[in-house]
Amino acid sequence: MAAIKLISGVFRAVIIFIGISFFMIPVFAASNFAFEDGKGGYTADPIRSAAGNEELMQSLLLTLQIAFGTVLLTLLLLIPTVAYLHLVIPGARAWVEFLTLTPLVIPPIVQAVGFLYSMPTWLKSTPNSLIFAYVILALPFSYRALDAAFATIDARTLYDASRSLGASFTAAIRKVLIPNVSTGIYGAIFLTIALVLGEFAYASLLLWDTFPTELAVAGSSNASVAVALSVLSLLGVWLILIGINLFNRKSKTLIIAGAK
Amino acid sequence: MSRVNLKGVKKAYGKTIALEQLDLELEQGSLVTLLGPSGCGKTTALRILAGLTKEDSGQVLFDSIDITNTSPADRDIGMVFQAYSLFPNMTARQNVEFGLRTRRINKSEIESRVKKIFEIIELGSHIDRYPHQLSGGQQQRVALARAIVVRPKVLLLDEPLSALDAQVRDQLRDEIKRVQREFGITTLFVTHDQEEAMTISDRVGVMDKGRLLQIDTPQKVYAQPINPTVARFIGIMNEVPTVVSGNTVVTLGSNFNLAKESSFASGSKNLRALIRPEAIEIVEPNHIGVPGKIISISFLGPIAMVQISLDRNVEIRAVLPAAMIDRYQMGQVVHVTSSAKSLIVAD
Repeated sequence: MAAIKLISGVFRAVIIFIGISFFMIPVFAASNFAFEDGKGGYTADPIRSAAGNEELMQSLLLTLQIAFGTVLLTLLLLIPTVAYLHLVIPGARAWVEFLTLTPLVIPPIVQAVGFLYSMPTWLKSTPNSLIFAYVILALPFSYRALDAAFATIDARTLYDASRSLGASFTAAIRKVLIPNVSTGIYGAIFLTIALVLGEFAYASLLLWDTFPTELAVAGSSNASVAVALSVLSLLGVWLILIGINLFNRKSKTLIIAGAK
Repeated sequence: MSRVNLKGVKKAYGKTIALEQLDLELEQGSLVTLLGPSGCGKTTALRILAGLTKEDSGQVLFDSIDITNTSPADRDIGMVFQAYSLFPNMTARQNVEFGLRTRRINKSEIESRVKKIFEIIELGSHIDRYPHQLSGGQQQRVALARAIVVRPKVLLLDEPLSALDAQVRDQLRDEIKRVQREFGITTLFVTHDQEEAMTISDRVGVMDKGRLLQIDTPQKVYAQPINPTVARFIGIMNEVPTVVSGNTVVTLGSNFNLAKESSFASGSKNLRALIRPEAIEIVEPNHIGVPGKIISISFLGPIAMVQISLDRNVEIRAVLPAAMIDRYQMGQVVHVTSSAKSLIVAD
């Protein structure tokens, strides 16, 4: 029995080590390449150089603005949709789930050209048009995060209970359902931001200078700057993830602290 | 509290008929139970009353006022669900306050009502706990408090005890009855558990396949079921082969007059008489009745259940006072007859 426990413990440790290595070795190698000063030491010059690159900084601001718009539109669109699916037509969930997968199977060039032709000119002429593209592109991830959160609560019963207590439709969604699917909402936010910060194909095809496309341009003249910023943006996304986890944990702590 | 009526309510899900022309009246302050197997339409009836399911046709009336098209939020109902339905993001207190806040009741009144209701359900020490910190029984008590603290016109209970273990179920059942009496709320209780229905209700309605077969006091539904379906669903029922001879039904050696409205003709075969265990009498051999062999004796506290095998692999059960079981033993041949004043014959 003890031997089996030891073997399973070692096996688990090996798997975790391989997993961590898989993610960390490329990050470590990229960081080393970006921040090495060529004399065996490290330098922050690539960051300084990037900070001095106005175009790069503007593209970062633009990307963050697009990320904000994408998150907002995704939540406005998906929370009521997923709630409606769970409450009124649960049988349609499988179909909607299938539909949300289409951005993964349709090539970006087809989607980008489709957008170009379907959007009104006033929208096409602004980088905010990317928000609509990214909302669709993020659907496979954001929908799943929200759908899973609604599936873990008994949404129908909670909704019926709040309605029977006199709550209006919007009050039932706002006061009862949304607070209980917050984990899914945070997940959808994180995945959407991560997608926007790393999306290259659409922005490039639609000729907008977002952070990833500027990064590619910067990389062609100074590779270490591009790699340094890639590592930093990756860390930024991880920080968001850690922040979300800490926020969740804090909420749970508050709940326990509320008990006598 | 209100007088509640469902008039000619119909509901179908596709081709499946959930309710077939349901007429139901809940007298003011009474507790009526809808009892029936799964899929009989009892929960659909309750949800239509709550406004959570839309009927295909018919009317819902509270105190003769038609509320058929009123939203659930405006019906002034309290409801307890089968599944735990407390809002996980709120404490027990916040859950109970929820309905009062939606009704915009003033703060001091909310505080006073919440304090009182927690005293009644004896969970004052748990008032600031979250649902996940409460047991299943405690959660349902808070759900009951949340439903009645708003002083609803009608209280709707959708199998609120079915997820609880036996001991907690009995306690909460008594508590529901006590609270319902104390507040005098007109209540509709839905269950598939006949013991629950019999002990808690002023009237029991037995449903099957979307129809209300009989509604009456628990005693009458048990003692005078109007048809074989009701008789079989309520309590233990023996089914004994019987024959019709002229105007007489002969069963277990006893003769019963055939009711005038009966459709059974003399000589009808494959008929069964439905007899309760307490109407089976064990008599000495050579006495009137039919012979049988005792195959089991179960001691149930004040009473004992004796199982007897008759001819043609028919087994029946009889109830005796526990003090009498010493007279009988396994394998003993006895004669049985029926002491029933009337019986139901089914084909």
